Amino acid sequence: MVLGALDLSRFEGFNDNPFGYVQIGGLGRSFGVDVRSVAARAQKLRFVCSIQSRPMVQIPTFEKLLNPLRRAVRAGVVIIFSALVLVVFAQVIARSVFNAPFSWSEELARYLQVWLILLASAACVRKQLHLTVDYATHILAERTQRWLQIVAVGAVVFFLLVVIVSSVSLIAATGNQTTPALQIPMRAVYVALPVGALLMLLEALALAARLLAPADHRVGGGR
Amino acid sequence: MIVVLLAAIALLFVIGVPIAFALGAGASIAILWEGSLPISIVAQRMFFGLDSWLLMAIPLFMLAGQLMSAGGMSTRLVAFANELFGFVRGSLAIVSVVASMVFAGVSGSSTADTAAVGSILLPLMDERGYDMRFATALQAAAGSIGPIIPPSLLMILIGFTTSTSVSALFLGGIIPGLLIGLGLIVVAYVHAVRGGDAYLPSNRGVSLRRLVRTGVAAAPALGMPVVILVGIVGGFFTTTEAAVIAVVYGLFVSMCVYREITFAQLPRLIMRSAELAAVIMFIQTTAFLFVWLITVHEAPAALARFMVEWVSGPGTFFLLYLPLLLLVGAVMESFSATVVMLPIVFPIAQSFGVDPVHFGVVTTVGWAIGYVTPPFGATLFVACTLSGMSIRETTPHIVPIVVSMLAVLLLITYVPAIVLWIPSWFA
Repeated sequence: MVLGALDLSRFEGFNDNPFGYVQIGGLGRSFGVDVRSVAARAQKLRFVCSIQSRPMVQIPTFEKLLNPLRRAVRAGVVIIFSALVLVVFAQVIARSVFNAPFSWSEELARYLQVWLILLASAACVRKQLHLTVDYATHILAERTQRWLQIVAVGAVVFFLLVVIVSSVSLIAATGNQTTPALQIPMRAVYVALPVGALLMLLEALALAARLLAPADHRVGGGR
Repeated sequence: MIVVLLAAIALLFVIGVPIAFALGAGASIAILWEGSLPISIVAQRMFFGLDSWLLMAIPLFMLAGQLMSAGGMSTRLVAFANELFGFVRGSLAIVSVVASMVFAGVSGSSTADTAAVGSILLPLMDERGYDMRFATALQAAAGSIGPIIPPSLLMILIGFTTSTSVSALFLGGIIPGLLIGLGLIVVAYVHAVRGGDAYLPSNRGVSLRRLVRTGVAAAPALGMPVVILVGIVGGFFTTTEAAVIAVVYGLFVSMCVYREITFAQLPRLIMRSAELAAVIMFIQTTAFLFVWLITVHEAPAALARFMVEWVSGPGTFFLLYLPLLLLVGAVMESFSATVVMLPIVFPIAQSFGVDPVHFGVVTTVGWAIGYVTPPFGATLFVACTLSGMSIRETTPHIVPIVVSMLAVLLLITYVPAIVLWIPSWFA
């Protein structure tokens, strides 16, 4: 799990350049990073790796449109997570120090968490951090692998569309219900689902676009 | 419908759809196939999977772990452990186990533990001329103690999935975690005795002055597990509240005491923790839908009726369960394996009279062994990345280490009292 993420953390700073992906041997992680630095590292570790990088000019508009959205998601995640910490900490203090527990803090924290996970999950789609079982795919030819990856993105898109349709029908059924403690409309909480799913959907499409763009050059792996 | 569900998910796994999405897409296909369930059930189950007070401890402990690794706690723990054990042959290897055990009490994650301690000690061991294939395997195993000694993200998820008390699981993990650490120290010492001059002690004797100095520097880190355990066990706060206290404590120590993190670095740490947590939580979210479908169709009960032929009690249940645990642990990542497998296996275990806390701790230790064993060894991969060894080179040296861990697993499985002793004080 954290494997991919931890791995990425070592290449931090390169995450903002998603125009390339690296497949490392039996572990088959692929992520958007500066391809040369990862290639050098992977070869040093004697992993079989194949590196494909695509010229930046191939996919400008969609990525350009997504970038402000990505900054907003990042800001949202940081603010929501900080608020979550503050709310839960305030609850501990209020209950154990002042002996006057809040009625609303637990509920607020839970709803913040719903938003937090769905937004952060969109960032994970972009960086391809979501865990994948990929023993089967990495033994195939590179070309076949790429097509399978596109099929896989198709399955992701299918699920996200189901989530959007499903959550819209859930919100419609909710009507004017409010939450028990805070008395805010339940819709404001449920809407995190279609919003998160839509953001993930956009990232999945951007990923498909990167996979479809023709490779300009390939670097062979070590061992 | 169960057949459609399982077939769809298996196919999606194989073509490389991320686990979380494969579970969701498979469940969606099954629901659309059957046609009698309202589509809004997908959003509803997912929402319930996210809307959990207990699971909030996962992002919070993740953030606490990130703060404490980046904030200089691990460096000071290693320095202190080195003063304690520096006089022994193979001291650095032993220090790597001891420091990982202490850091396990600070962070809840195995990979964070491996990275925090390994990034300091592996280069040192390389410099001294240790056999790096062994050192890498040992560090991977030492890091896998992370989720066994409390706090533990894995135990939070296991407790949530099986409706078992997380604090009882935490307490039950203490002795097994110490036993595994002890086993690793023995394996490391035996290796060092048979090795060459590289393994000579790093210190000559123990210097009381240095011991006190490094001990004082490490005290804030050593205080952390005490605060968390006393708080949870004494009933002062819940697991989630303990997690937020760990965050605030970590912020205070790394920003005000050690002064190794600045305000400007926080957004990056927060973002990374959120992503790491989202990976686990999103799988749990879609698995909630999958598991609901499975249980609605009473698959666990059917499996239990089938198993009753061979199983007569906890003893024979574990005889079947342990191989499954080790096999799944070797090929799958532990959090996804937990949310997919335990809702099916746990009701069966209960029907044969297995204690829930015992079951949870045995499962945690089983997954921990899975962290070290290829092909999918999470801490093994981190340790290999840190040392530059390949998994292939390291594999032969994993054998004695895994044997020592297996011995502990068998011991705690067939002597449940080892696990249940400490939780029984607080029952």
